[in-house]
Amino acid sequence: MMKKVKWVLPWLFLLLCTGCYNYRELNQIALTSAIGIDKADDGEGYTVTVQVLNTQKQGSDSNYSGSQPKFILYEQTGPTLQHALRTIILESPRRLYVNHINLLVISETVAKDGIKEILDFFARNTEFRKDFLVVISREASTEDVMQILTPLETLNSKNIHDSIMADAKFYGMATKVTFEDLLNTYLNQRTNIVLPSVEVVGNTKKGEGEDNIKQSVPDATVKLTPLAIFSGEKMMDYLTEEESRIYNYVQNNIQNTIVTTDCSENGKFTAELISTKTKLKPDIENKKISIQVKATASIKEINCNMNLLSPDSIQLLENKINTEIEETIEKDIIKIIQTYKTDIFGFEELLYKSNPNTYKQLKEKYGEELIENFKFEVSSKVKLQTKGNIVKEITR
Amino acid sequence: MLENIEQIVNRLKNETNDLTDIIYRKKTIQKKNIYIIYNEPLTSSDKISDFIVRSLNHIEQEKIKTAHILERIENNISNFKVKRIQNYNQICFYLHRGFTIILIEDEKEALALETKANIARGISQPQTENTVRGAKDAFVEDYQVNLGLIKKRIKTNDLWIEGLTIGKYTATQVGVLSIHGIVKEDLVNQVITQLKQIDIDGIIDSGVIKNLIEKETKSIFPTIITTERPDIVSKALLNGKVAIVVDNSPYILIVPGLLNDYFKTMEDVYGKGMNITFTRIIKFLAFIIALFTPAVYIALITYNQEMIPTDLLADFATQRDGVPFPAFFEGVIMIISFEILRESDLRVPSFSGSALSIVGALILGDAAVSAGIVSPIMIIVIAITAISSLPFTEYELENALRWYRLLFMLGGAFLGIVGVLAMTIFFIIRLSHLESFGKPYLMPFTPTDIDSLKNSIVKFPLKSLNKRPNYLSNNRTMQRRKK
Repeated sequence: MMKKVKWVLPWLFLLLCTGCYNYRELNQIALTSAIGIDKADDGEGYTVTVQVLNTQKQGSDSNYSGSQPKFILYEQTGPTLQHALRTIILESPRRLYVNHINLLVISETVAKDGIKEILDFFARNTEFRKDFLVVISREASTEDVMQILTPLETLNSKNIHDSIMADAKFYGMATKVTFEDLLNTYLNQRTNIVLPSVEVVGNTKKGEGEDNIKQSVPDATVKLTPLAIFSGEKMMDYLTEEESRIYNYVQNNIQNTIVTTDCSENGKFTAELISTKTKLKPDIENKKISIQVKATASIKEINCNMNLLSPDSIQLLENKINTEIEETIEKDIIKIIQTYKTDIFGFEELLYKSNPNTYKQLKEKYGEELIENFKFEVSSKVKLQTKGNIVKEITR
Repeated sequence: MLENIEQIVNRLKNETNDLTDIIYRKKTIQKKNIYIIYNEPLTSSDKISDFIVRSLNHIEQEKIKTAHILERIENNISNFKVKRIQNYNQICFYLHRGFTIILIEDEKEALALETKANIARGISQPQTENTVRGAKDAFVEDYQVNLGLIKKRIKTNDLWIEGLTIGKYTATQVGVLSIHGIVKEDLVNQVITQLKQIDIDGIIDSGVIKNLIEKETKSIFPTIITTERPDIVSKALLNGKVAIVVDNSPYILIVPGLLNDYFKTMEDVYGKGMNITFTRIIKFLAFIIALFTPAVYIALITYNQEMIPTDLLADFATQRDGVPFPAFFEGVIMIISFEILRESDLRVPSFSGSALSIVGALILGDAAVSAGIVSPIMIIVIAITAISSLPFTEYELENALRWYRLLFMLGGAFLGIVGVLAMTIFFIIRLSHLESFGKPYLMPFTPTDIDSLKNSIVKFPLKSLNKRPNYLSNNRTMQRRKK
């Protein structure tokens, strides 16, 4: 018996000696869902806004529920990000638990000054996951973006997160950029960063109130806006909506989107593209990059009187879609490259991977204007598969 | 030795302190004194008066006198079971088993005549091992009836029974059953040796023997199967296992008992392979849920919050808001309340059972949550744990799970998921280390036995289960397919 006790006791003490490292009860932590980074008002350091989930139990009285906000914003300013983030404890009764953030909002002003420090902070800190999405708050402070109570999904950060995901899936304007992607793109010298952006539409002051989610027409909402493009660590400009989609086409980010084009002189039609695939083929010898888009389409709307049963008209529509895609892609790629002078598409990386030596020679020869000397050949192969439930125009 | 019958009667009276239950009746048959002695509670007085007294009177009235009165009685008595006994100890032996002793003056031997009263209850339905399908008879407290229930199913000369008498005062009859030619002889010998080593005042139930031969302290997991179903015993015997029948106990022991055996019920033999496989998977899942759920929950919400999806974590946090206790303590409170409820439910008479369940459900479930003492999610966790620990027929297995559940919870409370993992390693080491009569406890999973694996988590169709497990039998072919 004593022998057994002698054997068990050290193990028991060993267990106790751990001192419950990293022990935290759920009601001791402030569950943070989003972090916003803005410039401090005096220009020195950062203002950090955190969105903390309100996990307080709603009263058992059912009338009482709903009067509590779903989240709480805390804001502190400090010389560094960590300093600002830690001083939030001055306002919050609980320590921030940042493992679960799913959104990082960077204000336009910070982005224009450079995001290197932000990247460094989040990459260094062990507490953060690297899979949260990053967005730019366009023409608004991060606080404004984060405080709007959004209907349907009252938790603001989840609203933004989900709408980026949905948009990336069904329209293709926004791009899903996680922090990990952002870091990888930044560390790769041959490509440039692209981030989705959001803005506040409507009355910001009213939008933070409870009334905002009680109305059928909210006073203010958060809306996705086209992509922000970077050169190095600094933000340069925003693309247009069409350019954003072209970017996603080229990046093979688009799964599902719509194309609208003319079908006759005074009629337009819209087709939905499904399972879109883009292939890039560099031809470094001839300074040419060919872009092949393949997709299956279905007609969603057509305003010309066409007989969709005849193969000729299908052929015609397919050609129309193809031409539209080819023309816009080619036009916009050249426009983006020439206007913004930054290679957001990663063409240089592609060339480097296909033939490093030739790439280096060309890079020495042309320098920053390398891509401007390339030609783009866009070919699109869209197959019209479904024509909808009716094949002719509705007339009476 | 037995000539002086007065002396023997006196000795018996002395030793039993003039017990009034033992009846001595003096009679004279053909001018010789005889004593009829029997133990009243154990004997049927009908039998005595019908057979013995009537026969004796008949002999008395016979005209031909004989010198060999003993033979005369032995041959003429209308009682089937007659035994000659030579010494005093045998008199006591038979007297306490419901026999009637006839002592005859000047004879060297006495007679013991079977006049047992029927003091066993009739065969009834199994109480603890119900099946939807299958035989509905269960063992009773009588040794002979229990043997009969088994012999009724296995009709062969190869069903060998080794009888033993254990217990200084109770002198309990214990039988070791095995099918010769199937069972491995060393297993039978091992069981018999273990039984012979038992030196104890009394065996009240087979549970006592179970604890004595399985070495109670070795593990809290059961290594001997107890069952009240004759069909389970018959199946086990056919597989090459050994059964131990103990008088006065409706539970029969089967050795060896491995972990896999506790997941099987008799229905598994009757049901279709695919359906049984599903049930088995559910049972193994329940086993794992019953062990791990509270521990993993506590580890996740106190250490490893990053492993919970955000929405779920927000839900957990909302529910735990305002609960004054640490999660581990909260869990322990709930588990202890449940165990008290379960134990009370087993002990109270069935007519107060409904009061118990109302109090239990209302207080533990609803009121505790409304009062904010425990979180609703903890109730869910404990409830799923509780129902998951019930689908096993072996009571000892359910009880063993409780200790390990607490151990896992402790690991989770001190070190989070790492602690649960550490305890899991400890648990697996303990289980692999365990043996039941020389057979590894985790058989057939490790060491792997392909033929037995066919009837473990996945149950193959009965036709392909044509071999006995090689750890139980050398004669492995179970069924031959007729062409």
